Amino acid sequence: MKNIRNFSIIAHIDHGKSTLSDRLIQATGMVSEKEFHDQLLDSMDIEQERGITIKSNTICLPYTARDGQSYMLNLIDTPGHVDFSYEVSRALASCEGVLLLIDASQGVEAQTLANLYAALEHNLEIIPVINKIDLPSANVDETLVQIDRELGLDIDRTIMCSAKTGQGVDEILEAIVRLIPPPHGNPDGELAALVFDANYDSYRGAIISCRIVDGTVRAGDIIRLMALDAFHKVEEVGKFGLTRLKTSSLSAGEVGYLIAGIKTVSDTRIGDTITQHKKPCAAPLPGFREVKSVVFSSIYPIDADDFPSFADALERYKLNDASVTFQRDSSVALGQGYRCGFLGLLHLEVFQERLEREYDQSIIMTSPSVLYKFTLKSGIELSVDNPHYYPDPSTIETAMEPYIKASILIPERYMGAVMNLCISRRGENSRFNYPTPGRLEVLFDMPLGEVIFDFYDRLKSITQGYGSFDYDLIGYRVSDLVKLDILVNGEKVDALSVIVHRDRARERGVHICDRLQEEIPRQMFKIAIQGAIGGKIISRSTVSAMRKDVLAKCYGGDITRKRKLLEKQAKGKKKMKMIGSVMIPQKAFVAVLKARDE
Amino acid sequence: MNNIPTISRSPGLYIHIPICKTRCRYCNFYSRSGVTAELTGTLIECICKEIESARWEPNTIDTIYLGGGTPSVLDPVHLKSILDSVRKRFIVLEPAEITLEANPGDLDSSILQTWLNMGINRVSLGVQSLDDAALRLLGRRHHTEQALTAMAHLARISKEKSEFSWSADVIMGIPNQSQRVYESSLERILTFNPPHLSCYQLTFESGTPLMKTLNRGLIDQLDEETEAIFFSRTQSLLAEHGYWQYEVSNYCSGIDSHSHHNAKYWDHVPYLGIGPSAHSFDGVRRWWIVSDIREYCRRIIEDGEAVEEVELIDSRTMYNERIMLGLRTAWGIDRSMIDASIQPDILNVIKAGLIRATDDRLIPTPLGMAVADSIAGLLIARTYDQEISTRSSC
Repeated sequence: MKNIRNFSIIAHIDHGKSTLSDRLIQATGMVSEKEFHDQLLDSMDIEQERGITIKSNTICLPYTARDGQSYMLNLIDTPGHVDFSYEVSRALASCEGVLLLIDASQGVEAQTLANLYAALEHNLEIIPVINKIDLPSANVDETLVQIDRELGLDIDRTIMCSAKTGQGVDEILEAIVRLIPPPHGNPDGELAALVFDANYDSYRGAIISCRIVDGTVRAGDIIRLMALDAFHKVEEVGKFGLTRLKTSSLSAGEVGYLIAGIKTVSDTRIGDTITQHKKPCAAPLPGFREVKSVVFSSIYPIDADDFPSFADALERYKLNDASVTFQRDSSVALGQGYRCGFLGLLHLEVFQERLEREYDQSIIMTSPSVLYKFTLKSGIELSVDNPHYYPDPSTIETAMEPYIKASILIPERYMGAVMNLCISRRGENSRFNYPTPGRLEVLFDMPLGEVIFDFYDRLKSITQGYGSFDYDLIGYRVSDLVKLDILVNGEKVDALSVIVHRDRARERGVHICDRLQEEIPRQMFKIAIQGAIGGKIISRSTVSAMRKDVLAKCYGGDITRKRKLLEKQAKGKKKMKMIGSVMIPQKAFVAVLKARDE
Repeated sequence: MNNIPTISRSPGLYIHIPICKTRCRYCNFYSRSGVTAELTGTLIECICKEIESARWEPNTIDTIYLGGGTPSVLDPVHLKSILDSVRKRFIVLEPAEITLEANPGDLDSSILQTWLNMGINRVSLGVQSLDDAALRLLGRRHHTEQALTAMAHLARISKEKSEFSWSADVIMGIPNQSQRVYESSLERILTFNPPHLSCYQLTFESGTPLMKTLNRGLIDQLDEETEAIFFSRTQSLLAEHGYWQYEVSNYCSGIDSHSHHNAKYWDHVPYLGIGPSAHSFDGVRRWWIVSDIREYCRRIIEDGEAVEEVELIDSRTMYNERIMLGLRTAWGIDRSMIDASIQPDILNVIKAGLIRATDDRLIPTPLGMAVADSIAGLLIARTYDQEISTRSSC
């Protein structure tokens, strides 16, 4: 056990975590230069494009250190985004130390701080690594100052590295061996293993990634998943190489996988404790919680005829990602669909992209919503994540919405712009930290509902990419909420309704009306688009009527050509949704979700 | 006037003459300029052969339309041999409408008399505009003066012979031409009292020289609003002069002075098309001839026919065409053929003032004619929708 090291790499998006992971794999001789593909661990297309890790992968690196001894370095990969903070916390709970990776040209960012706090919470050994020192824009001295002052870490331990060129990689491997303590635990004690990830294999079902804290597990054991109170017979255990490597057992301190005839990842819980049925541990490992969705949206197939294939794709998606919740939903405008819950906005976007790319589905999503809580005059309490279920306003005693503590790290010069943005999004209780001269941490209490609508894009834009953002949920606050309905020629379009704060309703209403005006093609009659709260119209726009649309000549030779054109257009119109007498193209539903181009 | 004109159910015959002295810059119909006398001779022989060997039932026809191209450039001998072949193969019911399309530059009083002598009793004259700048931009080879002279001849004959009729083609929406200049052209044409007028919105067809000029940014296309103004001004101006808009682009001065031949296209009356690129319809199928003079001649000589493609007009296609074509005409569509499931859509269109219902028909209003394609598109799309939802609910 003394030759095992369990560690993670934590970093802000794009600071080079995946590249460094790949370098470590290469440096320990697991793959030759020839086999070396860029970013081995981030295998999904979307991950590579966005430079973020969504599903984590874990790998065991055999390493012979300068002291001549052989070590097993378990690199536990973590998802790199705030939406997945619970998953990150479970991965960190499986480690004894972390590499805190910082981009030399970007310096410390909001997520760097969030990651550091998470690592400190788990009492992990922290090794700061400054990456991308080969870049012309690298500012190593400034970054060292930030590590010292903002993070309060020991700059003498800081390693300079370029994951791209490989510089500093050997020092990192040595530092892992030297500075990160070996795991402890009793291989002969009662089994307690922490589930920190699960993946789906179409032949073998759920592949659980776990850290053995105490005890030993072997094939044939009957295990119990404590949170789910489910029993399974272990079929196979092993370690993570580039492929799965079957072993006879996994013991305290080790990290590996376990296959136990569990059908899908939905039948597992991240953070759950695995123990033996016969000789269970006294209590589950601490820190488990049920993951709760915070952002909700309804999704529909673009073509209502495609519902069966759409439903099937969702079934398959669920096998791989247990963190999305699904409920049947239906809309007058969009037909049959599902109401889905997500860990955050990024999670929602990733879901949408994966469905389209990997599962070949064309979908429409409605405006994301948070979970609102209503207390009615009758005393009944309601949780509502779908505007469709917004209660009759006359029956509402109090309405509440979730708040976050937003932490925004920026160069000082953007303070005014960021303050304005946060205040316009109903931010309150602002605080400031000046971690280093010229840099500013802005803290705001903000409604989550305001952040899920284009906040991050706006922040990036007004800070020219220098602003970084992180948040924690801080609970519910009383709020003056209304339901904004959108009417097209007097007909309510249910899929476009949103719950908003009264003060923000007009702006949202104007935005949606303007967007629809741009996207709805002119038709034979004038189309009135209105935003309304109850019976009161708060915004409007008009699509004027088509005045001229007829082919000048239609004789013998023109008829076939013209008919084919009309038939083709008619089939295109099938992709439009009829609201009363108005045809609304699918893209109009998407456009209302997008911010104005400013 | 809201009556339905008499549209005879006898078939019509269309003959396409794909020869022009010069090609107009906006035209995308199949035609060639610079065709040698030798090739012209072969072509006429082949057209005659195609007519005489046509497999077509019944043998009776009551309209003949010589279109193009520019049939007025043909030597009268050639025209005569074509009409002789027609009479050899078909029984031409009297009174037949025999139309010749003519360029004003080709028409003088003597040739007009020659045409009349061979039985031609209707001339469709390509006036297009009485503005020389506009004619140049369109690439027309004739001048305003020639058009005025030609119309004077036609008006004279029209007065003398009650069985003679004629039509003037006019183009609206020519780049750089003002509404005022267009209207004064139109009003000047009206002084000749043409029994029939075709007023076409200029369209930019792909591959034409005019389209290239547009793409190079040298001229502008009218926006929809301006087009709509041209269209509605034409409607009201011609209405004031007592013309009846019986089709989107066609107006006539009396209930029987409409183009009997063209009306067949819009009412699914069978028609036989002869010559390169001509289209035929026999009630069940539509087919068309190859668009290439040499290929046409080769196939006529070798095989006796030169069909390029045939399409079957099934009931769904027929339904779509009836809606599309009916909404272009003053007699509209038969209410009984409309699927009951799209009644709410029809009511919306009626509410918008675009069509009106009589006891048995749905008829486009003048505003509706301007957007006839949109209405047709909606009704066709909605019929598809309803079919799909019926299917999936079964």
